[in-house]
Amino acid sequence: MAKPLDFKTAEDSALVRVALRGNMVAFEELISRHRDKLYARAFSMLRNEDAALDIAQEAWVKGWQRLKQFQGDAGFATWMTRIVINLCLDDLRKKKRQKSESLEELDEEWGGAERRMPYFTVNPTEGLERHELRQRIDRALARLSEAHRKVLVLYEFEEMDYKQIAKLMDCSIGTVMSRLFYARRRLAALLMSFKKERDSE
Amino acid sequence: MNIELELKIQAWLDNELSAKEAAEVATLVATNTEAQALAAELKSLKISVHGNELALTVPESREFHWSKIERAILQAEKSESRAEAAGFSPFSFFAWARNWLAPVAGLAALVAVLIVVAPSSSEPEYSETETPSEDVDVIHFKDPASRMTIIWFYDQSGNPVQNPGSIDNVEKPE
Amino acid sequence: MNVLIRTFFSPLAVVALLVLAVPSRVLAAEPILNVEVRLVWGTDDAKSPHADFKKMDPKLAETLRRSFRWTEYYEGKMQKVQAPSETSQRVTLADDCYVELKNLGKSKIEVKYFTGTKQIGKTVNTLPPQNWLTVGSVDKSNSAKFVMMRLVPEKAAKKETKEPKN
Repeated sequence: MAKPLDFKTAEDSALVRVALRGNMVAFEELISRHRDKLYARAFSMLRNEDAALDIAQEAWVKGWQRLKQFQGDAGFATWMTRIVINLCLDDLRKKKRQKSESLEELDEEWGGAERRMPYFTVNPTEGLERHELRQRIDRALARLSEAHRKVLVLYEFEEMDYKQIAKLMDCSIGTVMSRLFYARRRLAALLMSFKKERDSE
Repeated sequence: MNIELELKIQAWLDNELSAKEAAEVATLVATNTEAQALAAELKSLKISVHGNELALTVPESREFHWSKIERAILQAEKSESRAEAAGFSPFSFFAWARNWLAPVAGLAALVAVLIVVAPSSSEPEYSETETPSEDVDVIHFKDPASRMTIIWFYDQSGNPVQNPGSIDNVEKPE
Repeated sequence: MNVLIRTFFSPLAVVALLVLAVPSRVLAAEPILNVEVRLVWGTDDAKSPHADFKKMDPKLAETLRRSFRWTEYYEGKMQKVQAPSETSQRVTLADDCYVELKNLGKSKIEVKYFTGTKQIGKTVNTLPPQNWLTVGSVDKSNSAKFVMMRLVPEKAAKKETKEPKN
């Protein structure tokens, strides 16, 4: 007789197979494993706790509805974070429509002060503990423009390449490259200012 | 250094260049101090940032989080099947009555009998919530560990249900 | 037509209708429930958002943190009220927030929840001693207020009836 599946120790792929038969307990186990990662990714993109919670919840509902489309090529968590990313981008697009064009947007592609900034020879995060490093990066991300943050999160956390980002953001590879460049330079400047703040304390 | 070169150096560090282009940029970085400085800055930043997303946890208990998702899933399924059923069979009402009313009536009878027969010292758990507006829905959540039942109303359109009290109109203590 | 007759006159349906027709008073046991009610403010602010809201008992706040996302909880003045079985008892918590409580017997309590003049919902729950019933609604801002209720602990209820207030 086949042994019943132990949900706590089963692999994601096995839980997906059981969930595909309509078993919500298996799906809940998948949620409990990956809910923090999905929420963190939504928060990185949206910078708002409530909005991130709502989007993460919507992503799980969509995940359940589209479970048949999960091919298993990438891991389940990767598949789910792509759903979250798409929902975040939709959400940001909707909000952007309500905003007017600004000078800041020009800076995103052509660089503002970052164009004239000298290159840093000191690593602004040197010697930081991992937890502190993550907090500093998060603080700096919060101060980036939306377009800069999006491209950095997609490249550095979601590990997409230029082509994938361009497709997702509906822009050219050149735009992705320049946004990523100025986002990085701005981030470096912010991290450097945090370092100076800390050193002067 | 011009922006084209700066972007090339970045693309080189991101492994986005062809072998030929990569070799060209590598030579530039090895010979040009400005290119070297930029490459060093970008490289150390990439190492610091990559994968270092803040580790956050969902600010809700596992049970509460799941209860909201489960409810949303069931609600979506319900409205989907309602849409499918709408306007198809002229006998749909009879089918509905046969499929739902009889079992529901049976269940109601069973519940009612249980209420009457059950000893009063250990009352069965009971929870029923109504909302007068179709736009308002409710989450019912029980946390046995803290002995708490939560009834949480929310607006289906995503807007907040008007919340009790504003900062200035809280009743003053007597 | 046969389907209709079969449905509406199925034995189970008849039993259900008969049982449900039993007057609610037959089911009711205790005429009055002593309930304590408080308005609670959940927020991320380390300072109380209003002078009338005091920091909540840490144990109870910890309990709320298990279910809600806010880090800080402040409570308004606690009110002890009696929920009768005949009519609903209104408990005003703020100018535009009140609940109406009714004892349905067998430890069941009916709570009607109002904001402004609008009834947001009605809920009937069993409320065993030492259990909390929390009723509230979603707020998209960074804070929310909600109503917490529980039966007045038996000792406290007896003490109050023996020692009338001066």
